[in-house]
Amino acid sequence: MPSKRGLDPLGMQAGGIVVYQDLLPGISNVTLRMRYYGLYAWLSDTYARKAGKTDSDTWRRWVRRTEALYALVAADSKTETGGVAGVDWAGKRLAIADSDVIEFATATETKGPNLYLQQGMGVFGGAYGSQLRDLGVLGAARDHDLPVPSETTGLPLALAFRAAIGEEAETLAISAIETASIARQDLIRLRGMLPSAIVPGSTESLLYGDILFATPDSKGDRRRDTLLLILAVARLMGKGPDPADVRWTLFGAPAGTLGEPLEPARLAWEIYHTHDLMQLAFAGLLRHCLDVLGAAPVGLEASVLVETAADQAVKALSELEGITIAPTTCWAEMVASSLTLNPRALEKALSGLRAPSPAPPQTIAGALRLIANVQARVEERPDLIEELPRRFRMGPFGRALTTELSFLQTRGDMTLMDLTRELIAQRVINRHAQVAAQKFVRQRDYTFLFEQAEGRLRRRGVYDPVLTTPRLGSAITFLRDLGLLGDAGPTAAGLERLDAAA
Amino acid sequence: MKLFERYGHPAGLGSLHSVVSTTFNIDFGALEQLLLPQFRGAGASNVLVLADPSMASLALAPDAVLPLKAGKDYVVFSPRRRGVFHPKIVLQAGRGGARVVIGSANTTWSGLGGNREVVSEVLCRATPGPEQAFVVAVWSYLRGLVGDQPSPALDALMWLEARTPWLASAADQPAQRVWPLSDGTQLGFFADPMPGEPSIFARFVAQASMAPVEELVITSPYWDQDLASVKALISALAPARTRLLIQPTQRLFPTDAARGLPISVHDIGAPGFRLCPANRMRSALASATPRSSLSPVPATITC
Repeated sequence: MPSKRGLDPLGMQAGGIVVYQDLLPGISNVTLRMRYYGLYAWLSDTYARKAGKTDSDTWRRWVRRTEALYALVAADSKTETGGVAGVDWAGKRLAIADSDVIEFATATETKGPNLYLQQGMGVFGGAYGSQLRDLGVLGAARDHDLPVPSETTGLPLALAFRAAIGEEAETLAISAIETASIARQDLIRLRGMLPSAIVPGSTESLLYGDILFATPDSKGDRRRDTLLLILAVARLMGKGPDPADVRWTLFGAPAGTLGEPLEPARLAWEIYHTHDLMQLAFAGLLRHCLDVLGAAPVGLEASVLVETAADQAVKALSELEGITIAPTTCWAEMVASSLTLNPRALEKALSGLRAPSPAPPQTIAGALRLIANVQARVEERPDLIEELPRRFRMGPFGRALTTELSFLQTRGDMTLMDLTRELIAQRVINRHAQVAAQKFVRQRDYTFLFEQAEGRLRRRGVYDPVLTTPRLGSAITFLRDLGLLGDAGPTAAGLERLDAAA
Repeated sequence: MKLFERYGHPAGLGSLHSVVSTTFNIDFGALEQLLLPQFRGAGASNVLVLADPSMASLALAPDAVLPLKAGKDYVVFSPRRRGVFHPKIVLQAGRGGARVVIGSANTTWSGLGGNREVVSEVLCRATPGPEQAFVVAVWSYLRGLVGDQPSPALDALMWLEARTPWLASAADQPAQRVWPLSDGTQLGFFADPMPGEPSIFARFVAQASMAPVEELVITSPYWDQDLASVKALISALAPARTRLLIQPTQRLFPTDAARGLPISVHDIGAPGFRLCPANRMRSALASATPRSSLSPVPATITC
């Protein structure tokens, strides 16, 4: 059975997602290229002028045809396919040498074979639309339900996009959208629309910069600060960082290293990552329990599962570290001895687990060590402790870094074995049962990884622990699309942005 | 639609004021969070749950999700039987008719939403007919499980009976276990044998072998180590062909015992596998198709 990554089986990821959504509003994990923002502003304005119909079917047809056309242009370029929706379909369509004219009416219907995308309203409906509304690029009309470009941001961006691609390309694009066809040799004439064809210093480029860095509200401030932090990390590292570089640097950089004005944002990202490490470690314990159940096809009584899983985890810790865990060793001692460990190595082992192979002993031990390391790290940091309650406002059912630290801190004098048993019983097994039950009741999704029958728990699935994906990949690509970030770190324009914020 | 949602679905029978539900395994969280709201939605204010005593005890263990509404919103009762109490029946009764669902699904999260299950649904109105006779037979069986000793369970049944007048009048019909339907098929109810009565197996075989059997299909998560039950069914029904539907990933099928038997074995989890349009099956199911029937109708037993 394939594992469902991102399932959040312990309900702990949700708290972290709230934090990163707050730190990077207007950008999502599925908004992959900055220029789509301008494309949709232009499309919305062009649709109003050319089609002018307020029914959603006609709008949907325009959206789907525009996206398919965009994919065809990208696939034809052969160099620019990253983050363009429908590009796989487009590549196959172009490979069919049936005609000099590419027809795409059928592929942009909502039903039938060989659609460019299954989702009815295209990638606009699935990804960009909500972010464009959130950013104020698109707004609501008084007399119909279709999105319209806002006066303040949307219309200027539509005009800038139009000017950037030129009148000839615009006429060609509109004709292609209206007829759902385009001559092969004309695709090259539309390459000026592609994601990496934003001209540095152009009005269009400046408007994107304004959206990302100068939206005058608190959301805009938080987005700006995160983007500046990415540039600051790039400057520190002297390269174009990947998302892991960013999150680990923000996690480990001493306060103020990346600039005092950005310190509150850095601290927030540190809290996010700390929380994510904790949820990863708990997920590692869940994975361990599932492995133990997997070795018993007829299942285990819950008490036997807890005992076996805890015993194996503590034994792994003892054997692999070459230390003797005395029966009296308490959790507080474990925390104290974990402070100097490198959490990145522990994280890497847990994130690297892949079903169906069972978690190796060092990884099981690593989950316990990571929990202790996170606790030790937080307890050394008054600034973190002060900020935590503001970042995690959990209801009685919620679980986050704060709730798990409270659980651990009230049990510091318990023996390592007893604490491990409690962790597994209460925070892993019972917790997963609660979370899965809630998902089933509310969403009708059956996500139980084990079932209870005849007094035993039996494994139904496996789970690979995973860190959440905090929009940093999209944000980095946006900075590259705008020419603010390159392989060697921030560009001159990027450094200007950083210096202006210092 | 998930199985449990069916219980809240209007059956065109008016309010179904009472429910009697039986199960082997029970998870009180699933009962209270999933089933009860459905029963209530169909009009129930009188709910009786009959569960295997051992499983009910395990469900009340300290580390289990304990019931919060028992005694207030429903009554739990464990029948005293020899062996385990294994039927899965839901009877929803009202003044205008009733719905009976018999199948393999326990009152657990997995039984109600995570497994492949097989259920049969029979609806009846307050007017006489084979479906009503079937429901009355089910009611009689359930009534017999509680006994006559005063108990909240008996109170629940008496409450149901008092508000379902057609049950009493229909109970006067001749005792029968198989009823012909208007489409030429038959409806039967085989429960625990009364004293002196043949076993469920014997009664099923007697009914299914009234005509030559063309195909025998059996599916189950659990199997005898020597496949004795499969061999007994093949011997008794002499089917032209036999198919066993198994879940290889569960590693519970005795491969060695199957060697040499006149059977074909199929992976129920294989991509694209479909036994029938509403393919939901778990637990034990045996289906026998008479060879001579003009429009073959499977005889099915679930347990």
